[in-house]
Amino acid sequence: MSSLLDLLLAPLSYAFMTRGLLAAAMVGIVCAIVGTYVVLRGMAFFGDALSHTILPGVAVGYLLNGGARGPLFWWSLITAILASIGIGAISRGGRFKEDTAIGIIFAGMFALGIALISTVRSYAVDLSHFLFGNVLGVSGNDLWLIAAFGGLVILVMLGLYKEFMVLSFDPVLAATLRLPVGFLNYLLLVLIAITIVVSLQTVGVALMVAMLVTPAATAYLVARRLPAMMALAATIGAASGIVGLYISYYVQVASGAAIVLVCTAIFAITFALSPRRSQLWRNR
Amino acid sequence: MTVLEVAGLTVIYNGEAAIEDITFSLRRGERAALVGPNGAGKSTLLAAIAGLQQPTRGRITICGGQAQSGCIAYIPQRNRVDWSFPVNIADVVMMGRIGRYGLLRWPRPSDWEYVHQALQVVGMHGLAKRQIGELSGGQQQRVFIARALAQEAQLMLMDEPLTGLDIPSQEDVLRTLDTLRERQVTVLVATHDLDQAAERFDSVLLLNHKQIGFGPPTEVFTPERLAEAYGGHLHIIAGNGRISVVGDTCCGGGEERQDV
Repeated sequence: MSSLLDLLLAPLSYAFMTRGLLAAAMVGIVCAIVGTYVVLRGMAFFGDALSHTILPGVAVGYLLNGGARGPLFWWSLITAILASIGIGAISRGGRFKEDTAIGIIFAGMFALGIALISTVRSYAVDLSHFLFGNVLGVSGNDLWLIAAFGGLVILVMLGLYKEFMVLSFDPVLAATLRLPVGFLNYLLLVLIAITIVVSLQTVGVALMVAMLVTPAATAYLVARRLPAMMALAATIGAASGIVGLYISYYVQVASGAAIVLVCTAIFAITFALSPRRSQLWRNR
Repeated sequence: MTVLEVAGLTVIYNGEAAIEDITFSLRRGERAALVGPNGAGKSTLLAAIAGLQQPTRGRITICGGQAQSGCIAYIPQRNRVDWSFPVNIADVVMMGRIGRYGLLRWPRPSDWEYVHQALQVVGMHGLAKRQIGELSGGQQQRVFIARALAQEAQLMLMDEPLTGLDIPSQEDVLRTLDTLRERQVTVLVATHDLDQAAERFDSVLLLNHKQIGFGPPTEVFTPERLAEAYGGHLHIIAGNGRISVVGDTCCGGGEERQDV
């Protein structure tokens, strides 16, 4: 018994591990709650693309301020918000399908980011941190930023809970009730953008979509109501972050990948065991 | 009292008139059917009344001109709804009330009272905790009717609510509409079932882009007008003081016989 406790406590003697665990848990919660709408509204591709579009912002911040974390955060945030509004505006005109608009902006911005970063000699290392995250490099200041912006996102989601629910379930009702449909749609895009920036350091761009989609999708298999789905997704997200980081500590694998693999494993088990959502259940 | 007044309404899509010069009005508690062949502009007319579609010309006055949120309830076609969404029936009905209890607020006990009453009216009270995907087609329609009641809507717009339902479920929905009449709710239903329109509705609006007739079914469903609306797709057999109509406009060419 005491050896199990040792196993759990040993990594905590390193400050960077404690900070990493806190960051991973907070990110898991915020991503999962926002991810509930990403899953219900079929926005997975948008989430994936948006995380990639942040690259030029990171690159500019990097070129101007060197490795300093603080400015990097703000540059990413501005880029992500601009990209999400840009995608919203292009697809809104109705001339393209939304996924086409997303594809154009996503690839263009990502290429711009790579071009900018490649002007720096040591770009391979920095790019890999950006792509796959570096949760053990989280500073105390980063933790405060995650807590403040993550908390803000959750507060807005809870405050506008019923509006977002109606908008997602029945946009026509939202319109006939005279809710500000356009504003709420943009607001959701911006909330996803903030969530992605806050989470960037934990899992990185390439695996971001898993944090948004997988815990929420797992909860969707089990939960029958939206609040339950959100609570369950948040629990799964936080647990995956913590368990994944412990695994990466003991097994020596990349932390972002370990976190995502834990998420995926939870999903696979739930999917196999859940009678709900299976074809049988639907046709009953 | 007039709940809905439409005057000279025209909606132009890509240079073509989807509906042209529609003029009619509905009294409080009136039940009207919106009838016409596929592609006649029925959905466009409902969308324009609901405020989802900008009219090109004309005027729509709802609930005496005070544009309050919640005066109109629009009940969507069944295939437009995500039935696997994680909400139960009480949640769906409560959505009708969110315009009433306001921003950043949670439902009050009186809001739950409205929800339970509305479910009682449509005969679904025992199923409040069911997930919406677990209902039959007729029950799903009744949940949306309950939501309109909880919304305290004065005008209910329904787009093909009976399509795809079996006969007992259609009866269920029609009986529920009867209870709405007692509550003075005005109902406008798009349908392609001429028989039902003639027997179960106070008035009909016959539409094929243009308004071909509006009034009591016996006045509107004349052979000339029906021929004008349906063109060659409708064969009219007069005899025995009744007019029989055979149409092949519905649902992908299957013949359908209807007595008017």
